[in-house]
Amino acid sequence: MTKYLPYFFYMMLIGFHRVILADFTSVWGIEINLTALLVAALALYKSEIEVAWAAFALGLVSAASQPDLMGWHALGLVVISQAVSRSTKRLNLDSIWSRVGVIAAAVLVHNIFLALFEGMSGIFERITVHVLPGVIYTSFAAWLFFLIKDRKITFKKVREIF
Amino acid sequence: MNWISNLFSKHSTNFHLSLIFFLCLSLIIGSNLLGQWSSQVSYTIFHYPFFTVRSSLEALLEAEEENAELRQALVDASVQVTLLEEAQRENERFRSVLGFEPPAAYEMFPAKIISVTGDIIPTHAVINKGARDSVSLHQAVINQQGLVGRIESVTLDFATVQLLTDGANRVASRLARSRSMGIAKHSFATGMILDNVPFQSEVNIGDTVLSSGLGGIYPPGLVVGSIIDVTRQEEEPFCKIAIKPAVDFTTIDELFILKVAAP
Repeated sequence: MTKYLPYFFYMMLIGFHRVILADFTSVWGIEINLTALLVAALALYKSEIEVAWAAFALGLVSAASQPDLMGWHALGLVVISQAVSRSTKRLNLDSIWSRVGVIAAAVLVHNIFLALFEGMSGIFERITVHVLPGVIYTSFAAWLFFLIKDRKITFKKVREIF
Repeated sequence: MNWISNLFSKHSTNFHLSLIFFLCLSLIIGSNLLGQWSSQVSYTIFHYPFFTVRSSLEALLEAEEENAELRQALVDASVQVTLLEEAQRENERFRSVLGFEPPAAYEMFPAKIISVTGDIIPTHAVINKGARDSVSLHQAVINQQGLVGRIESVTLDFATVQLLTDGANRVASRLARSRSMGIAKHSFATGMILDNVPFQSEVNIGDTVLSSGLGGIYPPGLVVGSIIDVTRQEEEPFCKIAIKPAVDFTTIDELFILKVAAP
């Protein structure tokens, strides 16, 4: 049971992000796509089955306010998770930049997928104004995450600087 | 049975993925009920706790802002009270020099409304204080907003307050700014009006109406309301003045009875 505890935590994190964190972390209306970031990051480290279920659950949580689109959200994330999971097995992703690149690609696909829900009119404007800046912002967050995960940034190192 | 378990372990990934796709498709093409149910569960478990936290935080921030405003208001009020106390001392000195009697001092004691009566708006209220609590007839009743009415009848433990909304209750009033006098009264047809204010009086919308103290029931200086409309007609000797009562009679709860303090 404890194996699934982190997934419950991830779902809580998505809820926390959507209700509280998104407002504080958004810059000029550009938000971090935490759901896609989490799914892609999980796909780098976890098995296909685990990540598929996680993507499905995270899709349901992130689309809780849109009951009629929940299935599409979940399906989109499952497809992205499988694409990332299967492609990364064939790639050597030791460097942080390659992992950030994979995350950026996953977030780009997911952001375009979300933009399509709002209709085709003005889609290119939405892509340039919201989707691409969102991808850059999320990739930056992913970069920080990998720096911390790979212990390139530690509390000790930060303290030494100051 | 063994072959089923072998088949499952051999194709477990495909089995899981098929199940997930089936669930997604059920949500997409299935009934709205499934989506609603999933949304409700997801919302209740993963969103609602954070909404509670967020609304509590927002309420806390609002309370902090309000607190700062109230502190400021308290400081302003304290300064005002100091100035008024000084003015009162000065007033008492001048009164004694001129040989006037000192103005009556009043004490307040609180009372709670037990019931209200009235057809459209409350016109009478029964309070939980009576003769045992030294409530007597015609004492003025106020709340934090202004003048509410007067004691109309008293029993040992209860008293009835005749509210300003009762047509029979009239208050000798004056305008705070111009000191013009009139009589404030209420009727269902006109609402609260200030009657008998001469045509040439200086009356403006927004002026505060206070009790004048004439008539002996209401002490002077209690806020009755503010002027919301003034009409002057050539052939009429008096202005038609509509007042918005200071007290919201539909929400009154805690009242204070004014009693002349013992010298």
